[in-house]
Amino acid sequence: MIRSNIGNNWVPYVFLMPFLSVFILFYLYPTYSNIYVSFHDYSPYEFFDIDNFQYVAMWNYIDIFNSDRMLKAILSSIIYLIAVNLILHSLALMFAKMINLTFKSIQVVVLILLLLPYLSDGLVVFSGLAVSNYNIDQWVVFAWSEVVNNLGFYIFVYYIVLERVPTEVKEAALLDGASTLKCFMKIEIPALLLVIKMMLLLSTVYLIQDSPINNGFVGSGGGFISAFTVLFTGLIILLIVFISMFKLLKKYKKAI
Amino acid sequence: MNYFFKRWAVKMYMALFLFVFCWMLNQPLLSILTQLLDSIKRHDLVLELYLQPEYISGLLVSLKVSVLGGFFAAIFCSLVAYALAVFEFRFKKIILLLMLIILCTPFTFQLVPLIIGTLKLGLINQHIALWLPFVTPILGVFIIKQFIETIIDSELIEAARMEGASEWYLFYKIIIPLIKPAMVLIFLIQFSFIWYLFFYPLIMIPDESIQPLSMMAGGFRPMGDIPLGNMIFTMVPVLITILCSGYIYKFIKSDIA
Repeated sequence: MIRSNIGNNWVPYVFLMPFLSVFILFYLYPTYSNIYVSFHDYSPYEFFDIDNFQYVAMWNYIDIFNSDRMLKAILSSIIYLIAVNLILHSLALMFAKMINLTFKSIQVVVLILLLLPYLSDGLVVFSGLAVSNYNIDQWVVFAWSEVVNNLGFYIFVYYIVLERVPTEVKEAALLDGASTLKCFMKIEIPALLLVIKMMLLLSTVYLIQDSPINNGFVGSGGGFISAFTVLFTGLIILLIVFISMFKLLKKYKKAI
Repeated sequence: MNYFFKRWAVKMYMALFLFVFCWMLNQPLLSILTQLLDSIKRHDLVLELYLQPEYISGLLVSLKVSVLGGFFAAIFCSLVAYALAVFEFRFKKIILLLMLIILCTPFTFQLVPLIIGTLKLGLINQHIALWLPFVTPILGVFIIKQFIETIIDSELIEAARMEGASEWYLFYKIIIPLIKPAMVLIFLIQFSFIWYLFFYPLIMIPDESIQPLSMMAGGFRPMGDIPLGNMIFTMVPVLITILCSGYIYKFIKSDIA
């Protein structure tokens, strides 16, 4: 850790300025105006006169929770998120350990090969899988393409952290007669737990962007009801994520 | 059991198994490779396609936009990460918290206000609208921050300051060469993200003559079953990744956690 206060007080702000200007303009301000709009009666076609909207307090949220469609979408997306996250992270951990067990010389080659689907488009992966498995249910293909697409990145992260687990602890366990599997389950997974939690949060957020909530509402129906719904679904997800995030922040300050 | 796992044969088996899995996971990309081989056989048709002026201009626009976006993302992220890792200042915690909030918001959530804002700024039909919103990947900031904290000692920075280096000189001459592998990784991630954008340019660039390649790639299907237009389109990020694999190697091997 490096912390230094030498130098002028304005220096860090100069370093932050280019990033922060873009960040405020394109991310913070839109988020603020979304939250502002969520308490008003509006339609997307009138978004330009944002000041003339009528204030309706929490009624938008109440309407959302009263519709059947919303509850259905939330339920199906929760099932989807749990299933895909479970498959994604267990596979990624398994692969990271497997790469760790092979020869040193080919480890990096394998990692880069696995990173390629992550750096290529999700749509390419999906269409490639959908063409070759057209008789399987499209939902399964979609979920699997999501896994294939993101697996490389998580393997990459888990592999790098696995390398950093202190070898003395592992050697001591192996000397006392633990098997490699037991060593992995009892020593390496607890050591990785912090990173696993952070990555779970990250993958949940990335999956939400492609989840049935968004695709269902944007793709079908259309028009302003769908845009309306997507906006508030985003807010609700945001609330859920915030709560989990603050808990994580309190416990694991050094990870961030 | 331990002895068993340490043996050479097991390592060999693991390696084989992994390569089979790499093969499976890269199936879509491999199908593109077979298309490449196919198109070499029918090079006259393919050349005719790729020498169309619209295709070349689309390719150039895509390259320009994604290279600019990736480059500025790497620079901005390293600047912020350096400031967050090395300095203590007042609004640090608030900035970190805001970054986390934005990291956790889906992009669709802020799409409508973002489009309105971009329209108000008058950025419609301009290429800057395609890369300027994407030069601030929050994940990149955290990756580079962690990288700086693990590989750079405080003695290095203090020594440079003792010798009279200014803050900018210190960053430019000492920090940038050391964190280049992480910057290349951010460049790659952001490059491929902007390269494959479809929905955003659809709104921002209504003018068909200056559209990027991602929007017209589906239109080039001269040979029926072979979507040739997509081939070069999907090959470019992969090729750049392979070219930069030396930096990824360095990133992995420097002991970052």
